[in-house]
Amino acid sequence: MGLVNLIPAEDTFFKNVEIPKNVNLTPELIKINYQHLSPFPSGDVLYYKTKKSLYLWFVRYPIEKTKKVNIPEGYFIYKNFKSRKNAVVIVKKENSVVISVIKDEELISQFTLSSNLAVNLDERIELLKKEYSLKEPEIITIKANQLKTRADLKDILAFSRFEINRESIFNFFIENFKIPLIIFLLILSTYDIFLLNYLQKEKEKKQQLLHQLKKENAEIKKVMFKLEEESKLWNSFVKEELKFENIYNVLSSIGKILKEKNGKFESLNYSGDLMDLWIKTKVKSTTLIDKLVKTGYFKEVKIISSAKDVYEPEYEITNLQLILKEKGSQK
Amino acid sequence: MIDKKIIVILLLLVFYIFFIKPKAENIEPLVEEVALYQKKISKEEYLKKNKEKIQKDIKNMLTIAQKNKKKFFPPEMNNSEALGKILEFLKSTASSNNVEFLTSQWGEPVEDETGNFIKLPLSVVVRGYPPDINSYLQNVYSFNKIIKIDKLDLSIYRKEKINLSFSVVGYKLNKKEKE
Repeated sequence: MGLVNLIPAEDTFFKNVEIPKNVNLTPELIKINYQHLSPFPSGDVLYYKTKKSLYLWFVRYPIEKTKKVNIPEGYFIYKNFKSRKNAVVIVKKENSVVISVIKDEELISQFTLSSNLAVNLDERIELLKKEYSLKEPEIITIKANQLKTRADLKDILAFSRFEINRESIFNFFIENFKIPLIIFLLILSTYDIFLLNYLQKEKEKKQQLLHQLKKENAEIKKVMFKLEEESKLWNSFVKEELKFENIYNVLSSIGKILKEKNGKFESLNYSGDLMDLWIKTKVKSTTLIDKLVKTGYFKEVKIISSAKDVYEPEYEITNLQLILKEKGSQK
Repeated sequence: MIDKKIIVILLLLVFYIFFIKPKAENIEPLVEEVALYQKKISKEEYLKKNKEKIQKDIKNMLTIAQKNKKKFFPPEMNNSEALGKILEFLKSTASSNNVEFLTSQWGEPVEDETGNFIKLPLSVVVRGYPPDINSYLQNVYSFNKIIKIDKLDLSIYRKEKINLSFSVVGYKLNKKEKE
């Protein structure tokens, strides 16, 4: 199924005319201006523009414009031999002979003779030489099946008579892409349906599997939940109620430090995280602070007051304020 | 005349737009849903695969949790009974440590902030020589239930003895254990 519809030479009548200056050629304009040159009153016209001339092929019948790109056979004869300077090309067909005259690389004449009229071709060639002043032209004779009639993109574009409007673009699109479009839509729909079904099945499969696994793990989960509850209970208790070191350990460490420094205990008042301590020491009470901090039980150790003991002057009485540190905290 | 193929295209387009497209919009959420199920399945499979080990670990942890729980007074025990047990212990410990038990005062039981426990407060005043007070305090913490000393006053009495007054709190579970 090709894009090109070849119009046989015997159905066309060729005319070479000058390109009109400053005119944008359209199929309508060509028809209006040159139809009178056609021997086929109800026929159509195909045209091709070179640098110098406008080639007109009048077609015996009206051609359908929306289907395929119509290219006259005569164009391919010209295309095959246009590089020749001067030539007379004779294409022998089954029932006819197509004679084309090329001069200075331009197609100046082309006509078809039925086989019974194609006699004395040499005389005709001589006449053509004289008529078109051809100097030593190449005489080329070929059979029609030797003629290359494969159209390339340039040929298709040259003979495409698109009108650039939405309708023509749509028509062109529909004409050329309807089958791929149908296939694409079918594939897309099938793919979506397949994927959707696959995912639905996959979801159901996984739902079932999950349900099954949950059922199998129900017992262990119940125990895990119970453990979690127990842990929460214990952790919240420890966090709230046992956040400080037990008071016996704290007092023991203070007692040890006092013993080391030959100090005496006077009184202690403790509530929450605050400890108010009165002691008697022979050494400066500041030396105790470092020792107390190093126990790791206190966040803060402050000397509130310090004075010489009136009754035992070798001793210094110190009032300390100690703030307990929460277990596990860095500060 | 309209080409049959164009009619097919139009029909396919209508079919796609009105039938397939709305369904196709569910594809992405479905993919996410399937992925989510897979994630949950992986977790459950891990649990199933390591069931024995997890069960063993949980059993050990539950044993510890149960032991910890026994350190509280049981919820069914009367508050006064629990306070009485603490007092009895503090008294007997004082006696065994040569410490003179002077006074005691029961506080009002209160629920803690979490609502899981009842706090049972008790204030005590004792007197003794420093080494005896030291061992008394040490032994107070050997009670078979958790107790906390949250207030304490130490002062010298007649240059040789120590007066110790302190508040102790015992804990009772507030709710019955869930079955």
